[in-house]
Amino acid sequence: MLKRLLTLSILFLALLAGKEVVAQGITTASISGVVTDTKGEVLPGATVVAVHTPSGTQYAQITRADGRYNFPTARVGGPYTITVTFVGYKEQKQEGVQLSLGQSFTANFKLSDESTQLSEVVVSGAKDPILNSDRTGAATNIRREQFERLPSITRSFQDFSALTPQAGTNFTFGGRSNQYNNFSIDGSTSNNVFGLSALPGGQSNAQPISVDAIQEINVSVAPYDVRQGAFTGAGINAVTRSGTNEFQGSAYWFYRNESFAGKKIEGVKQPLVEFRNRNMGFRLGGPIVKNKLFFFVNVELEKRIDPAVTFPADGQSASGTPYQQTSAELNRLRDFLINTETGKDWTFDPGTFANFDAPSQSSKYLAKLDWNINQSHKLTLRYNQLNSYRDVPPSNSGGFGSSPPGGRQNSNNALPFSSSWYRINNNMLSVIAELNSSFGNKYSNTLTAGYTRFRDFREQAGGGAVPKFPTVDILGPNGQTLTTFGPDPFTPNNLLNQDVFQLNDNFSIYLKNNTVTVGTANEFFHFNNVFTQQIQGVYQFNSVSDFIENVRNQSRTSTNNNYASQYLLQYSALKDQPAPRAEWSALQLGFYAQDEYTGIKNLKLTGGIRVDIPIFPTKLDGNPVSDTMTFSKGEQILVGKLPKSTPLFSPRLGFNWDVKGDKTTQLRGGTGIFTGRIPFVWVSNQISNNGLFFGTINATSNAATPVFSPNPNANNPSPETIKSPPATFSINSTVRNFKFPQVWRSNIAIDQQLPWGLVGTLEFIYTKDLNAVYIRDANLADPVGTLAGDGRPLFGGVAGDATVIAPKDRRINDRIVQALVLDNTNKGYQWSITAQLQKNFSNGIYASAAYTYTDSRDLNSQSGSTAGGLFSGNQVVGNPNSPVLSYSSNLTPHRVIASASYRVEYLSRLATTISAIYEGRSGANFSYVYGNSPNSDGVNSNDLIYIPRNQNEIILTTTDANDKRTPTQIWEQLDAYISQDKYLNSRRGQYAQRNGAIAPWVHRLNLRLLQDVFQNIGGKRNSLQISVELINALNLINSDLGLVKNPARSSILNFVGYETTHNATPTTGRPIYTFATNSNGTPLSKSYLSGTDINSRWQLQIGLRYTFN
Amino acid sequence: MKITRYSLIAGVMASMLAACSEPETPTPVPATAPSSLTANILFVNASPDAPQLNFFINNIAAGTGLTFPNIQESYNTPQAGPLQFRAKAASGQIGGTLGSNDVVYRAGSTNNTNFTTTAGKYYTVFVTDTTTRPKPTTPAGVTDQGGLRLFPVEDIVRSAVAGKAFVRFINLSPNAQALELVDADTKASILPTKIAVKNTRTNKTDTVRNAQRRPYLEISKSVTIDNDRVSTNTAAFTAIDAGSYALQIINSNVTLGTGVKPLTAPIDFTENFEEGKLYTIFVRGLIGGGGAKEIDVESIKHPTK
Repeated sequence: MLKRLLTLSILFLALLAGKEVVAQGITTASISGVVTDTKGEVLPGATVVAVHTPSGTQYAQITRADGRYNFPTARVGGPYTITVTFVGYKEQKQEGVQLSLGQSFTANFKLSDESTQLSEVVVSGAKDPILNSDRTGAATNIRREQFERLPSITRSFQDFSALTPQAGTNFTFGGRSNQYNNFSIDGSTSNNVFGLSALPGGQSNAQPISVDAIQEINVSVAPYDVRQGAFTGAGINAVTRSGTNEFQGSAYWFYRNESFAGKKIEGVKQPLVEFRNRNMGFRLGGPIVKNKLFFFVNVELEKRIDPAVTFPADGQSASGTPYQQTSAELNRLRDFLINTETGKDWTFDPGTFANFDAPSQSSKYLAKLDWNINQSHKLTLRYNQLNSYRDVPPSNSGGFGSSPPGGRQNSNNALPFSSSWYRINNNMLSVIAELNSSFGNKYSNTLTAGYTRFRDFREQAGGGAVPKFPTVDILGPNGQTLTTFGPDPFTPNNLLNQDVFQLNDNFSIYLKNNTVTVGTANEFFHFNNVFTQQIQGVYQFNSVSDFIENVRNQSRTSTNNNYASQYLLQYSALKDQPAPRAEWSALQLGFYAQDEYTGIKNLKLTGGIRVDIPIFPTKLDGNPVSDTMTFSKGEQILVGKLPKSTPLFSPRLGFNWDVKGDKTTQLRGGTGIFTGRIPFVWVSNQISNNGLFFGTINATSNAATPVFSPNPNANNPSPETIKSPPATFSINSTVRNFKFPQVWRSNIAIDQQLPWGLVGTLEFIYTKDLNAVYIRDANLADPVGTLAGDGRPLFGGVAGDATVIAPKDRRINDRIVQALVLDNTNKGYQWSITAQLQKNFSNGIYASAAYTYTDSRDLNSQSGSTAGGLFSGNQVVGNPNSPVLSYSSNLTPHRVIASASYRVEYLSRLATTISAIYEGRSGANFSYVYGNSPNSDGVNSNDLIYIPRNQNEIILTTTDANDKRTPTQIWEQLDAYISQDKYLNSRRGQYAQRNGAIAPWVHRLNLRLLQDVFQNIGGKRNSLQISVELINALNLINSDLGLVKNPARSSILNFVGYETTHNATPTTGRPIYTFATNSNGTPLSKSYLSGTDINSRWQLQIGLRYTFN
Repeated sequence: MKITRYSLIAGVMASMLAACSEPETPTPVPATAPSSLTANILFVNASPDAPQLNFFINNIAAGTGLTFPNIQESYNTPQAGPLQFRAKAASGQIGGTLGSNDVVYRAGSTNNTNFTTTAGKYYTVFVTDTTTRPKPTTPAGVTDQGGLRLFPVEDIVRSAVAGKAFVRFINLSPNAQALELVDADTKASILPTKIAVKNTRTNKTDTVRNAQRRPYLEISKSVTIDNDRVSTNTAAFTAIDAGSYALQIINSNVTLGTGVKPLTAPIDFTENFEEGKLYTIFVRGLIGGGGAKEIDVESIKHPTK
């Protein structure tokens, strides 16, 4: 018996890759079962006590009339000892039970008469976590041992949630955008609901929680339990560690730098920019009052230093081409700025152009208190905090104007001064309280209340206030930006505060054959977003001399060239608010009810319904000008109206059928509707872009740009002259009956016990979009005709010309630049099929391997934050307002994920662990588009190419004055390129598809070696552990392996004009394209290039850890 | 139970099949022949010290062996749109600042942009300046290669008028000041001194000095009307009465341009303007250039289209 119990306990311990149960709660596990006598008669009134041995936490109950008992909110982990006693019967125990997050462990007991001989004790419990009656939908659990043993170089929990077979890259699941996941820690919503990054700390490359603080993570793709909501991608629920009756702690340190990384790509030496990365922390847990009150704390600090300048002044490329930036010119500029002279009484320190450190830093704190009030009530309190920042170079974007040519960031042409760098701060604080109660043996309740606060803001790099000075871009002799000084244009006033309150209650009733659950889950949001792009003005000068002369002369004549070539300003049109903000609230109320029916033998049915009600109570001002306009198809847009509240219903049904009754074959599945959230930044766009907040100046001619002034407000129109709204403006809005995303998801799966102790799973998931989101421009007129020689729709040649009417003027209303409307569609679907094998050994080994094929189609892959980005980032052939269903950019068609780990203890003092994760996946997908806009829709780089079959089908011309090819030679190069590209060659005579091209397969093998030395001191184990992580090990073996290949040029052809001018009289001329050579004049001949950054190299990280107990 | 299982699986298969359909895309309508729309380009060798030149448009041969001060006999008809104009020495090198490099039309802030043509329009491209024009050393001009330049002008003609010929005057002398084409007897300018230019967006017009009064680098400079840059092709043709004229090139009383010199003496010549024909009168050479490089006037009768 001991051996059997030992086997059982090791089996459960070894469930390291186990795909486990339906999550019934998202912070706990549950134990239930039936107590009978040896003849099978139920025994009501028996006493069942489950004790979580390390903490002494006790759960106790008397069995009900049907002999059943439930502990619905048991603490995750173990080992548990479950004891059943009844007068007149022998006591029975089950020991060594380990509970997984969301697992429903079944422990049935057959009590034998006190007087009978003790024979083989029959303890029947769910042996196999996979073949378990509570699994219905697709879910994966990742346990503490996996965090401790498997490789992860960034110590991010995303490396572990990616063990889910249906995961893709970048925290996506099932081919859906990562904006649609819900991430919770101990039940509190912890994803960045505003949506500028999927998770808190994303903008500063920080993690919201340390892996040392995590007990377990459950990733649910299709949980039919209605307690889980607020996602249409996946629900990722993490539970943190808790203290036990023993003090346990660990201190750790990890380090890596650029010398711990590969030097060669494909046999060629490629230098890697230097960096240093250190991660250290400690955790400690233990009792405050034994068996009653426990604490757990974790503190972690991560520091990384990257160099700011990798293309220094006076440097040159590997081929000897000198960089555009010279210290002579930059010093001349700097000396002019920092000194006064006649006629210039102001000075400005632009900072340095020499190298400096760009730090990224994060500190994470977590404190948890667990209080066993009594056998019926347990309280958990958790506090966690993240403070992180990162110093970032100035943005390459031009905002609403033209972007600085070649970008501002350091390159072989540009070297910005340090004053244009900024620091992004992400600070998060979260508290949650959870009270789990049981009332007798029939009722239980879980009450949760929480508060999470995000404070994101920007400072000058290095800390300190952003200078009150305009941004100045100066171009160099070759026409690319040479340098920038003054602050980054998107930094002044930049601020985002989010406050999220949560209140949930869940009540369960245990009846014969039915467990009924009712509950409510509510979230309250408050946002304050300040985004004032280019509010201090942005000047652009064609040379350093132009700038200096412009400042000196302060006047313009027709003979000198020292004008600013561009001036951009967005000023506040609100009299009393110099920095207009979007401050607003939202609520999402949720109610649910569910029944779990176990009346039919070997079958478990779960059915329930949930209703979610998003509410936007904030009252907004209307825009008196655009509110009265008519847009496309007679539509009217009221920017002051946020969407109506529409209750969204999610009925769900799940089943689990033990086909043969012996848990060797399990068929499970379900169907149901899931309702998610949208990133709230999409709603915030409506509030900030109502046309009333800002006016813009966009001067691009030498005579129209103002003379330079160091005063950032020098060109603000005087308050009396400001018209609100200004002469031309854009608006963002949402349709009145906009619905949050909803999908209908079904899955069916079979789990089968196979020979040699293997368990195989085959799973199919199908998701249909019921309410997907897409965006359209309601001010874009219909096309005027078709593009000659192509066949796609052609839009008007002018925009906003008062003398031309739509559709020859592609703007319906001349005063509106764009009227972007967020709308719903029911087009879109995803499906995936997974085959998985798992083997649970009993001597320190586990292994798992899975292959998943996914298909995902949508109208718009929705990976942007601004409305403009959502619209212009969607590639189309025809009208951007009517996108067609195509591959999602979140799709990874093929994926293999395998993991294995082996640990052995020897010499009573040493232990070695080797573990590995292998991921093989399709490369990233992408679209082949034209540069610029042959269809004249006003959006560049969103037009999918037509792939020509012969030279008649495309008009090509030379790229520039240096091009030595004739059009026929250009065609031959293009033809050869298409022939060697499998995707393009297969689509000659057709248009390219959005995201239809796929980069080559990526192999990633990560290894980890742990060497422990331990010693028992005073009965407690003290161990010292050295860890070595080798990421992308294949690249170490051969520098041709483990590479990430990127498309050489996805904007393969550049549109440079029509045969006849396209203006108010639509052209009948064909479009003309260029197909450039590489920068050294050789023809572009290969579709993919190996990346040379850290993702295509092996990396090593070393670590040291001391663990107590 | 069996029925449930099979119908479930059948439902799954059906939705799988539905999911396998291709995404909808419009049907392309590609062209079946090369471009039928052309622009019209005429080359003129107007530089006194340029060698015999071969011309190329998009690296395709567009005329060979043109010496100073000749024009091609007919317009080339390349595809329309952006075009690269290149001149190579017919034998040997261009020489001078360019050395063995070719003369290429260069524009834009990086001096690498080609010339944009529109289908159905006519352009005359002059080879001007001197082979020894130095490469600029200021940071702003570092991509200017120096030496000879290619200078295109659009030939804008209104429809034929009875009894009229179409004439324009362009000053292509690198170092002469603004000049004027006048009647030798009356000393009155035979071409309008100002032309109207319109901003097509706002419909506002302005008048600017006609090309004849500008040093050649000023000819196609754009002006600002209503905050937009509007290009001024001031080398447009003007209709004048057909007939024989005694003409003179004199210094204009307008000062434009820097580092330019006045003519030391007027240049006299006669010209017979035939009805319906197009003429470009241009001044080439250097003031004080000496010999073949001395400043003088040339006249082109444009080939019929």
